[in-house]
Amino acid sequence: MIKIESMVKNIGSFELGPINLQFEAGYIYGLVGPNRSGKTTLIQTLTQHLKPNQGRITWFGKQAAHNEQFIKQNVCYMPAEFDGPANWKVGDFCQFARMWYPNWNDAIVLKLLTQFELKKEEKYAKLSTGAKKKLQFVLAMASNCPFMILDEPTNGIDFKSRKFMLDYLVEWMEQGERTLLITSHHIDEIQRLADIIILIHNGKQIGQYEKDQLISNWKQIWLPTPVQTEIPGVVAMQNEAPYSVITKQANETLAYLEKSQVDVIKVRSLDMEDVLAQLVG
Amino acid sequence: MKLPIHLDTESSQAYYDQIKTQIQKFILNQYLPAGTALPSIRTLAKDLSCSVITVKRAYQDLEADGLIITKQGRGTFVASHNPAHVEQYKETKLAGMIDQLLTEAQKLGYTKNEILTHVQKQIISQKDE
Repeated sequence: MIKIESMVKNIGSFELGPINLQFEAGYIYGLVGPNRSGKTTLIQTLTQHLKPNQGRITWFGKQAAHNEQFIKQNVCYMPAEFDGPANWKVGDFCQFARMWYPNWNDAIVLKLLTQFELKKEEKYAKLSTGAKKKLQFVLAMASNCPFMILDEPTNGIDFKSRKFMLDYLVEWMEQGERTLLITSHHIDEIQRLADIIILIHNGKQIGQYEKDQLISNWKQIWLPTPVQTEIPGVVAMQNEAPYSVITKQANETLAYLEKSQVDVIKVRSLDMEDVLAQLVG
Repeated sequence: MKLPIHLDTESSQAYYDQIKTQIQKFILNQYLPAGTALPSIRTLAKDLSCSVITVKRAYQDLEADGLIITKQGRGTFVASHNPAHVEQYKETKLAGMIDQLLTEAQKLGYTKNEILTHVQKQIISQKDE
């Protein structure tokens, strides 16, 4: 769907890149990284709000030049924060967004506004943070774009609506050739939803990982004695009791320990958060 | 139609294999009869918090084994039962249990012949009960 090749973007002294990514239909991508890692910059190059300094991006086989409008109509972006004109009402936003997207669906607007208890006459400026987010979500879903980018979609959202949104996204994914790119500081949300994790840090692309591989490869293994030798896969060790090691290749490490006749006391999977923290050092 | 399956993240068995084994068990012991609709790949991935890549792999294997069938645009269903499959499943299961017994008993120092003698003895003594 979208391909990024050797893309570099400079903003002042900050440099993002080089980035090489490919987004395919049918998958949910989780974009993660500490604050100021360049997540939003990356997203804004995908939405054409920012032009890359080097490299190129291809959307649905097309380049940005001459296809600006086509790309805007097919890539929907729900920003982390959004402020519209002060006197606009909920309904005005719906009318405005409706003009942009050729596949706009009014039935989705009605259904989701009702679900979130939002009224068209309500003033946007008077909505709570959570209600503003919900409206953004409604607009994004009604746009019916095949490529959807959601930046912190559930920030400030109550648990009931959050669950609804996540379930809705799963349903949305099944309605055709669609791709979802989602960022969130709630790593558990990424862990639940994403198929592929993209990790960036200080503007650099650390890696792109299949979620299940990441979770099943990284483990903490407790051992009866401290480790004296190098063990394949091990990236960190605790050499005071209780002795343990952290491995990024659990199967290799466990096979080695078995061969060396070392008893394993316990094996635990790392949380996604722990794995990501290890990966960014 | 949530399936009662569970992913053990501590296990060394690959996720796709865990899903496959559990669904296979439910189909072969007829808990999921022929024609039962299975969750979509995306839904099962959500329920298990795993990726669609993993579920797709499990479903592909089950389909290759003839246990499930995907109907274009309608979803995935449990295939009609093939008695040969049930037999094969039981045999594989028994072979696994025997393998485990052999490994454990050999760790205790028994030879294969001794194990066989003990198994026979045990079967005979059970008959007497």
